[in-house]
Amino acid sequence: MHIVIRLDVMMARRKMSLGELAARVGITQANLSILKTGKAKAVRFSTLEALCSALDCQPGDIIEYAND
Amino acid sequence: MKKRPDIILSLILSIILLALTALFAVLLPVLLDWYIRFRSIRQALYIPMLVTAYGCTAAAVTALIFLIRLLVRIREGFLFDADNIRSLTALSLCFLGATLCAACGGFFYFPFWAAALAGLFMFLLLRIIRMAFARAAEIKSENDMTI
Repeated sequence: MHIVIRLDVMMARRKMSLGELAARVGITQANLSILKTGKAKAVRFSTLEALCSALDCQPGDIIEYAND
Repeated sequence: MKKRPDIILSLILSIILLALTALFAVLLPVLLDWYIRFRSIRQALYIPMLVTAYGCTAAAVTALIFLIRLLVRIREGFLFDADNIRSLTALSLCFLGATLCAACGGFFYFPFWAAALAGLFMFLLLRIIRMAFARAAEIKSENDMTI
């Protein structure tokens, strides 16, 4: 049981690069990379809100709960 | 991290203390001989007291080296990291070593028990600080990984 980050899928769907998304969200590419690779331990609501706004999606499109 | 003068002062004092401890180690046989004659202590206690004092001095030198290393890391801006926790662990173990050494010396010359008690107190204090640092490092890691 774990949380899976589907940020790469949404970025591919929106044809958006890491740099472009980082600029739109207002976080560094390094931090966005941590989030994308699933190394992040927590996500702020403000970051999630900005990501959803930039990718025009719902939180559930980015974060998924996987039952092993 | 802003370079705070109190850290630099602590660093300078620690280096001075290390130099004084090294000087003390060199002069220890002479100082102990003078102390034994001044306090009219049995000459037979010279060797046990010397061994105890050297044991405690070795622990003190090691502790001071780890303290300087810790202060340098703090000055560089690294506070709650694994290296500092290791330094604190080593520092506490140095005090435990000094405590055991002084406790053994106490069987020959009882005032060493006072030093052993002080060492034990410092050991416990450092263990608590080490635990607090370890928890803080954990919280920092979590905070750093919060996007």
